Amino acid sequence: MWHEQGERDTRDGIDQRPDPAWAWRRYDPDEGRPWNVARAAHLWRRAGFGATWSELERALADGPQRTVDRLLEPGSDVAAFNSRYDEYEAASGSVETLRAWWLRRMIQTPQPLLEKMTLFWHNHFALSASRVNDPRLMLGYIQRLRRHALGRFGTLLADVAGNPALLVGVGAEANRKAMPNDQLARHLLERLTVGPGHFRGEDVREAARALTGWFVLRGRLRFIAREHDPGVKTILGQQGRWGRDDVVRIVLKPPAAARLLVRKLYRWFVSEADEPDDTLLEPLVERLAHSYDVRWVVETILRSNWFFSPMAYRRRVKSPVEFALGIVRGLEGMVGTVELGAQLAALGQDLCRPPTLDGWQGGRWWLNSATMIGRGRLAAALLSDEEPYSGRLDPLAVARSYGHHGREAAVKFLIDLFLQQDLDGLAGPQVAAGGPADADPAAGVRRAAHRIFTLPEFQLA
Amino acid sequence: MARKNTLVALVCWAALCGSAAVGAQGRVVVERLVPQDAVVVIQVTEPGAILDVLLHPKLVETITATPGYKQAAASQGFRQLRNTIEFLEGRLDTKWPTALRKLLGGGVTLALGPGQNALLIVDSEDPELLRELHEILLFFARSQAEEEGEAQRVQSAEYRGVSGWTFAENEVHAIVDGRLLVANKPEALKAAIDRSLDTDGASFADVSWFKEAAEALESDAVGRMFVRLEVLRNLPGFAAGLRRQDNPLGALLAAPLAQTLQDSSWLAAGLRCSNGGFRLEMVTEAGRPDPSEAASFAAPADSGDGALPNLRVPRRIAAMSFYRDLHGFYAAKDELFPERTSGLIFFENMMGIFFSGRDLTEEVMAELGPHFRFVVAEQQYDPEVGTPAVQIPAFAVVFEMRHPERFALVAEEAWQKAVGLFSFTSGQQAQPGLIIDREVHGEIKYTVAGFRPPEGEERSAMHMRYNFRPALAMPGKYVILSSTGQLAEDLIDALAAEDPKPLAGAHSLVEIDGPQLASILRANREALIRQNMVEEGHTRQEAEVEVGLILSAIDRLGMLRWRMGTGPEPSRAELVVELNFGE
Repeated sequence: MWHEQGERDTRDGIDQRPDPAWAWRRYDPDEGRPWNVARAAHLWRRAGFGATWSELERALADGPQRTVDRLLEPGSDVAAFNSRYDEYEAASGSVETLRAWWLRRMIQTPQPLLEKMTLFWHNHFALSASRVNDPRLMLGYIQRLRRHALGRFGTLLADVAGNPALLVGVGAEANRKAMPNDQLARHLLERLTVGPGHFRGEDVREAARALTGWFVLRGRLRFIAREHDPGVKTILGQQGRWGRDDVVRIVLKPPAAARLLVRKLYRWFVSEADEPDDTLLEPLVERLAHSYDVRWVVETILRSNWFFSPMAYRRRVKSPVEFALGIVRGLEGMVGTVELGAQLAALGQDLCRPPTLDGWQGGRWWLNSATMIGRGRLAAALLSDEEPYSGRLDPLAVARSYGHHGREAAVKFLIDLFLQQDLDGLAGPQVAAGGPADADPAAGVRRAAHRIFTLPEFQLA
Repeated sequence: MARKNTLVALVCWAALCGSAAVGAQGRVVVERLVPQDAVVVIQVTEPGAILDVLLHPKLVETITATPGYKQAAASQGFRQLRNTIEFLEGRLDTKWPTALRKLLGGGVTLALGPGQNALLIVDSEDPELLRELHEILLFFARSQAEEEGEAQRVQSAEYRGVSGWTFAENEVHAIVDGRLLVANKPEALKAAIDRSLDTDGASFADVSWFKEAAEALESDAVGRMFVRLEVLRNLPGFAAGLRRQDNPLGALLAAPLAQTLQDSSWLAAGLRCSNGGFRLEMVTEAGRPDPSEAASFAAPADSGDGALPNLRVPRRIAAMSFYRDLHGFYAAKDELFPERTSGLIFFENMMGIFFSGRDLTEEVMAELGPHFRFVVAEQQYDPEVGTPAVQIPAFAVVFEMRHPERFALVAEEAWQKAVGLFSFTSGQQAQPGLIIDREVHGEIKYTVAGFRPPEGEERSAMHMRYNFRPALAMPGKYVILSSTGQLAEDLIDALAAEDPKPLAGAHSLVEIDGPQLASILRANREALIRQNMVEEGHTRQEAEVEVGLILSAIDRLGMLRWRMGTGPEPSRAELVVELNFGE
């Protein structure tokens, strides 16, 4: 299926060290690399949470670049949608409800890329409600992530650094001159910007001094001047009477900060399977370091030859959220997201509660024998007529709405929708096979849908 | 789908038909047709009386005005049903409510068991109407089956000179002596025909437990139910439900009911319709539990004792009154909750802190009398402070002290420690704590703790914490623990005004006030809609319809009252539902 031009050499016919200029050039479909349903679905899985059939049809008609245009700037009124959901979320009295509204927003949003990026930043900053312990602070923090999700990273970092949730989340509620708290400084340097190996312990201590004076008191961030150390500090080689804003500016200076972010974005959108060469990433790093324009990087990736190459296709493991929302969105339904949030937590992705400040490890760590059984159970529950989801997803009805009547036609439609032509020779007939109890076509199609959702191919994004 | 339609039509038809417990038209009593080993028998002996309530113009008006009904009425299925009814009305030359009364007039009996057998018996007051309706439905069923290429689906056969029919899978029926018999299995129908023709054979009418249970019910019931509990207890789910007592509070409240169902071999229920409501009486053969039994903590010590009448306060949503010997209950904790011992030990340790090392069983529980009452009431918020985004009703519990002169200060000290502990742990989480104050109401000095008024917060959507202003008041021998000072003051007034006489033999009394419940739900309508959206996955419109339906239903609930007791005679429980027609 994949025959690429411009891809030199060898593994699977693809060069793993391609010409970066070619890799990040816009993908232009041709006979060898046609724009087909598989590539359209690949784009929707990465830039969103899976697609409906009508979204795939429209993508096929529009072509890749116009589809990316619409993912970045959907025609419908995103602001009104987000404003309505902000209002819903504002009334959340608990993190569980907040989590449920966020999942619902991910399913219904007219701009899934924005939510995908909000989730990316949630994994990057990795603050946990268990630590923050205040749903209102968590809500404010997630709203900030969303506001700047496709903006400039410097602005996002400055905004989050000025949010009480970050200080509480990393254990830096009090930053006294007499004993600087290095938790926030370490988090900024080690996880959010330059990364390990690009700073010294002395940089952490000096940055902690620059951050003194900031306190979270009764859920609000306050600067107490007498607790701030006004002396000269040297951070990453830069000397001055630095304060918080200076720290944020300084830690973004080294190219390592842009490199760390580009690597994370590559892993998020392109592949978790291979560690990319610095040369491949350099064009993205250079541009990002210049302005920290995240949207430019995301757009470049999504439009690129490399993104539509076999080196990206099905080379990420779906997180539990991607797994479940792919089903719900594909089947064009809506389920109770309070219960869904709890079940996703049991599968390892408790939204609003990343396990550590490093976020979810992701990749192959999402899958083990227990979580595979759990994914199978969740898929069965989503398709079942019984509680908690009460049969609100109906694969046969969706297939019929696109003119695929009868069991066989419906199953073929579901394979096209969820797996495209990725099934190997054996799995296809297994999925399509009926059972003795399949006199009821709806039950038969549900069973086939369950087989699709438990296949290894479906676990890959 | 077609089969489903046929079944729906048959059920409608069955619902349109009837019979009397005693053969008003010279038929044998209906219990003669019921198998002697039936496990559950439900009878509607006077359908007309129930229809009077269900078809009350105000109730119909309420239901048809709901968005849910309007939505359903616009659906294709509903239009089909309405067309079918109109067609039947034309063919039978009568309006459906009249036809319903004629066809159901004799009564309806449903028997479940033995095994998976089910039998529905419908006695009509107008056998000719019944026959005519059957002919029409037979025509429909045949046409539909032929259209779908399944003509063999509608079949008939003779058994002992009676024609039996089947229109769909797991459905067979016959008309015998002007009675419609519907069963889920041919053998069950044949056995019913046998009993109908051989009236001297064994039947439910001869069963001793049925006679005893029927005798225990009041005679003017319009509906009755008889349940053979000793068989039901063999069902794993039912048995597990009775045994399950993993929650001490749940056990404290529900253990007497579970014990009654455990001890009795049968349960009978009688339904009566009063002016604008229902009264359901339930009787079991179980009497007062043996004092050595764990559940005896809910049995009044002497025959004149029992739960006290509920307390009346303004804006009351619900009230509960119980007779429970807390000392006896807690002393039996190891027997009642063998698997929760470690949790209870932790609870005791915590209580030891609040009660300054006193033994919880002998020095705290033993100080409390057996009468305790709960009250839930809607709040009025101080406009100076503001209104929380989610409004939670106020709630309180009222205990009796055996020795107020020595226990009142102990209770006060424990309560203040609890408030202090809350404030301390809140402070650890950078959350505001409570400020303790002493206030006077009437001549009663009480303690109340409140949060500081908010700074810069939206006054119409304040934090949920502003629903709480916990209070402790001790008027006379009573201890009032309330979630708000306002409710504590209302309870001080209510206790001063009452002259409580125990309801002899009653151990549980629950009352729910429909309009007040509707009021608090209406105040939280937006929150309920949002909750419904994320819990059920509904659209906003669907959620509004569902919440609207609940509110409409509760609007029509005037009062719900549940009373249960034990005595030397059979245990009795009573559920009274008063409907509110706004008259």
